[in-house]
Amino acid sequence: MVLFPFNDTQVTRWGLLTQRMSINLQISRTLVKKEGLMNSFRRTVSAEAMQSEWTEIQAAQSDPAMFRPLYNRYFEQIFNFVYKRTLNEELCSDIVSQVFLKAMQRLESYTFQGVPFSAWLFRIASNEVAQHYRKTQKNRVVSIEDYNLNSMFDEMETDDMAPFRSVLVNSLDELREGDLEIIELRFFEQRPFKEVADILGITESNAKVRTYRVLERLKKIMLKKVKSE
Amino acid sequence: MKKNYDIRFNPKRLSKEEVDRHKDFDALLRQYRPSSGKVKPLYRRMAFWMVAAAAAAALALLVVYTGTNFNASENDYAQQMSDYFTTRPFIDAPLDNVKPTFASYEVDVNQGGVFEYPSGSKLIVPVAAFTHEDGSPVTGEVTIKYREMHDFVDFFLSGIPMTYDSAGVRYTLESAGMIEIFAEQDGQKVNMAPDKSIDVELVSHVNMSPQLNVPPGYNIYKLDEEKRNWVYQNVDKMEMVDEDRLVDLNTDDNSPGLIIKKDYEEKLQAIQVSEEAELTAIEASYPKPKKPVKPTQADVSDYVFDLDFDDLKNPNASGELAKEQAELAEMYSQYEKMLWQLSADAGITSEELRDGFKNVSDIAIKKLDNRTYELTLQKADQSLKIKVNPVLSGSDYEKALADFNRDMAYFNERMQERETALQVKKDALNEKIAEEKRLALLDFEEKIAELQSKGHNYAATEEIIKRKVVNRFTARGFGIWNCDRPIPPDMLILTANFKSESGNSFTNKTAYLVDKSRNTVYRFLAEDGAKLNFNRNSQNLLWLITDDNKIAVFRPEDFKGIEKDAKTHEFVMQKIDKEIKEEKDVRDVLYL
Repeated sequence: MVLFPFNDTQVTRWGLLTQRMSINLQISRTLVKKEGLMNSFRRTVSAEAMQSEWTEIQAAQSDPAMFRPLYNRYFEQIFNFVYKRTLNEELCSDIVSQVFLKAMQRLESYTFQGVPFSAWLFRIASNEVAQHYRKTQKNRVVSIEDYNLNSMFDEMETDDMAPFRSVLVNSLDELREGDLEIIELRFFEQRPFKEVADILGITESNAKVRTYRVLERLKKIMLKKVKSE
Repeated sequence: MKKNYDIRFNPKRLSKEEVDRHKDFDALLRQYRPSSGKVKPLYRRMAFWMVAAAAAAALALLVVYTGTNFNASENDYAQQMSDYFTTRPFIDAPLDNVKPTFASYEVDVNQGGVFEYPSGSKLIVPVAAFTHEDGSPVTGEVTIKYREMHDFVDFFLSGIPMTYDSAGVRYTLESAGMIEIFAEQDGQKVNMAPDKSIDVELVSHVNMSPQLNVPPGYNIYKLDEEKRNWVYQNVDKMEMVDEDRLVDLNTDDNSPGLIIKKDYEEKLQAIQVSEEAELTAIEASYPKPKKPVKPTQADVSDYVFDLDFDDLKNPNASGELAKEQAELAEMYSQYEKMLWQLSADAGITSEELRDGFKNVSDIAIKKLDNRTYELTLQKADQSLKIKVNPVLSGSDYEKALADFNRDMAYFNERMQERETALQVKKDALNEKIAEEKRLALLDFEEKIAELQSKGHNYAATEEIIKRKVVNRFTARGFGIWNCDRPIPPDMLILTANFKSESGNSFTNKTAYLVDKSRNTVYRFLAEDGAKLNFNRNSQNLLWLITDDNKIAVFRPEDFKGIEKDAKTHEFVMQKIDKEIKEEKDVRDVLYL
């Protein structure tokens, strides 16, 4: 076992380090290609921040007024999440109020499990949105930004996206709600797998596996539609 | 074909402002009802019923109170007064020709300094304490402008309101001294740097009973001109100045007053202990977020080495050690290259480590604190324990620094949120403590009065004497700072009219009332049907400024003439025919 000095053979050492870094980068690129980790380097919430937030949650569990900092922190994120699924400002505002009200009412039973608090809020928001559409029997809104489609087509390894674009809407429409949600979170909202997993309450590897299964399914539907056109 | 989803491309995005329009935590809190689906533990249910019972009792008391003491006309007058003062400047100096005078101190910003005011008060100014409007640091010399206000004439002339609205109740602030402080450079105002403050030692006098040898509890408030209210800052660290003691306490064991005095002191001590316990509980109710640790950049001019995490890993680790290892593993996974350096108190030189322990047979690591680890190196039969720090280099350091800056901003934001949330509780506690102290004092005074009625001679307790004190506090900004305590309005309410000696009514005018046992001034609207609270047993003085800039007064002896059970009174104001040119003229009239 050797303690590698860093400065006495600085030039050599830096060289070695550079060499190692390049190896690491190669590995990373392979992973990117293989697992679609293109955007997953974005860190969400650090372990320290989560721990620290847990103390705030405990304070709010004993005094609802102490929920204010959590509300202030996550209001915008939750609002945008619901808005993308409703595209109606007033309806969104009502649903978001319900989300936070339910969060406060259920906070007593919340326990820290190493997952960001926001994930729990997103889960409540997702349920509230689903409940709204069940009640009203309307079609759920799915918002897509053009520029977010590229990463999805990249993952499908489709060189020519043009024919697929024309059948995309009809193909997405054939997906089950749960399948569409995972595509929505991962590609339309560009969330890292970790966050997708936290929101859906599954493991990160499960989120990856499910994403690629849904992508495969979507690709098959799209190919079928392209051929039939 | 029936669609399942409403898919929309590139929908309109909402701006932050549009989102924020819907943000209202207070409204949410009002809607909040605890979940009823779950059976609560017995102690919580009991707590609920106790709170409910207390609330019901409070409501009943409120009903009794409103039924006997409050009526629509009081509300009307309160509204009328509120409307009147809303249209007036918040700081409403009554006499344009009597200007405040400020002391000036020249400060070299590179040196700071300690400056003494004629009263004996001190200002301790740190170095680099000032910034320009754009946030850039001020260099060179700055002039600090400072003035003190000590008595009701000062407060009156300043036009600064001495009322404090808290939770819908309007209190009058009894002051132990007030200051105004600001700084200028070349005639332009400058700000106090965000992380700087000026320590103030304000020498003043407070009203108190001669029997007491502990100062009453005062707080520090800063005037927020925008919000038109005082904002609580901290507890006033008040100390009595011993040489100024005017009356010796009777410590004769045979004195019946001694027991009362001791009882009072014990009560004060108990209040203080309870205050400290409650403050601790308040602090604990909202735990401090964990402060991020700033990464250390590798000093390549010194000995830097790397350690393979596989060598550091102890597969048998459990408990705290396993947690530390998990943290370490996360550090290693976050950065391309984790590096290490000897800490300042490593206990070994770089050369000794490099030459003596280049090859080792075993390594173990243990966390000592956020920055320091203890590394145990094993070489043959030699074992060495050294303290090391994790360090980063190049892009790793940049990434860590960026993470730190983000986490620090997050930490600061949450600390701010914490302070804001706790302040509400602290304010409530301060009010509660002030009320407890007031009641303790009241009890003490009543007992002394009872002794007097039985023939004991405690003449000294009848007087309120002035005791010299030093108020210590930290001014974290320029403006008006006040050492004071809120006192609730006196319960005696008269419906009042104000007339001149010639019978003309004074209406729609600002008038002032002073209870000379309290170091404050109460500003109110002179109007037909005004509701006036005052203490019949005190020395009261009421005045207003006439249209020709003279002072019209209603003197303490006139107050004695108000019938004991009177519900209304016409205050005939005596106009003092003295031209008011300066502060001295005001004092001559009001201190007659």
